[in-house]
Amino acid sequence: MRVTVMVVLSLITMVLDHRLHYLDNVRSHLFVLISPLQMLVESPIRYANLLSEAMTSQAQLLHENRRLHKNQLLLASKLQTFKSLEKENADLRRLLNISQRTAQKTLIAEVVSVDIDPFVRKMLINKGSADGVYEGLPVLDAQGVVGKVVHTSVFMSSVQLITNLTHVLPVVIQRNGVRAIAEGTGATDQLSLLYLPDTADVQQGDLLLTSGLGGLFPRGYPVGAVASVKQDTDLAYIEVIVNPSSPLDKNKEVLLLWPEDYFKQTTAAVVQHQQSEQDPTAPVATPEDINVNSTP
Amino acid sequence: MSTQPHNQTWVVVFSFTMAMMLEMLPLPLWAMFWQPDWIALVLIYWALALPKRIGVLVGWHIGILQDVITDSLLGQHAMTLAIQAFLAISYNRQVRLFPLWQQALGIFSLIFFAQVWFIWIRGITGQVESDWRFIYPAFSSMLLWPWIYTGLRDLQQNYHVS
Repeated sequence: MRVTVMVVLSLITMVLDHRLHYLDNVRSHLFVLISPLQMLVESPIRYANLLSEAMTSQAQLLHENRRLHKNQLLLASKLQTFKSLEKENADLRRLLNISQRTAQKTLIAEVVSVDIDPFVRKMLINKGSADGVYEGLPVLDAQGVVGKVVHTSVFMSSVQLITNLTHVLPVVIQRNGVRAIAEGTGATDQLSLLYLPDTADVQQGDLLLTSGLGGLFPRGYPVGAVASVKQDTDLAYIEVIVNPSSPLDKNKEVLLLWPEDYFKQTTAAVVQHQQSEQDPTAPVATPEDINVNSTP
Repeated sequence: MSTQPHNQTWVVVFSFTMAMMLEMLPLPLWAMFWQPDWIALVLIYWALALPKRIGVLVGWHIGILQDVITDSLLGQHAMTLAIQAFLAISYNRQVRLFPLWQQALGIFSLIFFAQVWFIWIRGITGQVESDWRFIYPAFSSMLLWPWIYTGLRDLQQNYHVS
């Protein structure tokens, strides 16, 4: 019976795909097959955007130009103080013999589809392995962390959002350096913090940053703000709900972030990173260290 | 699938391509929940109309493509489409005589069971979000079936697909 054979075959491919990742290659090849269709589907939207850009009046453009100019000035002045702080930070790190934070290579990607499946928080972006995208690459936007790449093909990749139920992200509270793990809830705008005892100092409005402990996300990028803290004496841990900083369901463009040394010495960097994490005497991951930019 | 010119295979390929593009269409979140299972509808139509040519194997391969499109586990949609094609072929003589609304009820149950299967797979892979909205695609597919059926039938008759 052909249908029985096909059902068994499907079950086998599903197990292979889920448990062993043998089929990632097959998937990315098929993805290439699909991507012309995907381009075709999104082209009307792209051209509509281009057209509306072309139709903007000069007055509007002038207005926007002025606004952007002002904004740019503001940012540049902020950047000046940042530059000096960065240098000071590097100097202090050198004095303390701590490995330096490196600058990173970035690339802007357009979001092709915000929700591939409405029940599963994933998005599709228009950069793939041809641009150096690999699985596990962090994805950010101007406001904060978006997620990480889970599948790549030549020209497109799918990104698992931080709100995806299976996504966990090591974070740190900016105010006091308390470490926690932020897990997706499956809702578009909520994360929850795991394993925080009821003595933990968490308040509504606290800003969460990536702690860099997982080794995947770089340290110090905003993740979200604490929306509510609920104490329940029946539970061992408190319930903390976090709203992500990034507008995850409205993103049009995202930023891909490579570690600086990825292309030069990937393995060496990863090994070094892991070692510095495992070594308890290394001060890399202490709260004080992470907290270095915040005002006391 | 035979490639003889009078068989007009391109019409079938075209309809599947359109279904896939509709599947990829970026929609606002609320609309995504209502998105009918275009590919399943088109497959079921062709399996009913051309049971000798469109069957379990075609369904399975289309399903693998749908898995890639929706970034789900490879085999998840392949399995449901293979089963749907199988059922459509097995009962195609009876079903073709049914009035459209009865066919639509059949479509509802086929899509419903497929969605239950997807929920189950999401649960196993840790993506569970138990939510009654999973039933929406079954409703929208059911409501669309008469249009899909008449549309594809006209297409088939126009181009003498056999």
